[in-house]
Amino acid sequence: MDHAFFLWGSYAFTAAVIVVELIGLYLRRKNARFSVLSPEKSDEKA
Amino acid sequence: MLFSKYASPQNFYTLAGKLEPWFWAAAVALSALGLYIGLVLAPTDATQGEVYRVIFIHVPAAWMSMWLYLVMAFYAVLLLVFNTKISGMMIRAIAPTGAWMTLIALVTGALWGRPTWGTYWAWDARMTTELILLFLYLGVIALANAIDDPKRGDKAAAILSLVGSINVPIIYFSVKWWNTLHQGASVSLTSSPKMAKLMLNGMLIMGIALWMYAIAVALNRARSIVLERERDRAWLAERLD
Repeated sequence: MDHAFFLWGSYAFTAAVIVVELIGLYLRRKNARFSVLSPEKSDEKA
Repeated sequence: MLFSKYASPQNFYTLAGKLEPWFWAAAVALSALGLYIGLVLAPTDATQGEVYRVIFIHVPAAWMSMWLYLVMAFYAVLLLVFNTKISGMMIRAIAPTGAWMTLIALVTGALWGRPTWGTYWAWDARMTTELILLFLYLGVIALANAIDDPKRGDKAAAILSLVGSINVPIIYFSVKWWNTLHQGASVSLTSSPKMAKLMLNGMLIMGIALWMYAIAVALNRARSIVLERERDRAWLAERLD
């Protein structure tokens, strides 16, 4: 296989990991803020 | 005492919120500089060709994977000795990023290994101990979340962080202690660098960039954990209104 596949594959994988982690951070923060501001709603959900 | 002041979730939440944007900015700026050096300025390697440029991701990610585990072990000591609330939260906040860094190091290493060594994977000491590090991170995450009581979960995760940290020097010295397919240390404090200065600078800048990124992510995640745990406290509702 072409070396470019391995080189750019490495960078693409790293970028994908960072995007997934950042989306996870955003969703967790959103959910945590929601649970503080609307505790009864989050309790019902749980 | 400054340490005890910022060990309270309320003060930590405020301080982390102020620091976080600076670490994000540093991570973005240093990544841009490091990638520019690594992908544009650094010359093609005489033996490996262009594929060697994987080092600008692989080596810094491998450094971070080991460093973050040591930071977790440091917080584990703080938790077990001083019983600070924030220490347990920081272990939980750092572990996922440590696991991601380890995964990046393993996958980019495999993608570098195939064209240079002829194989994606070998069960040599460096690669195997790095894989064990990934399992340790996953173990810390699983253990912390498997116990309903957050404080007991924190302590269990702290003990595993502390015990598992013995693996970090084994990873680092594995290439010296055993004959491995993996090459020796890229950078050493005791000997002069074996690579071109520009390549070395690019790698070091990317290392600092990933460090800044890891701090920013850990602070962000720790603030979410504070929100989750302190959600019934009045100070938090006032802060978010």
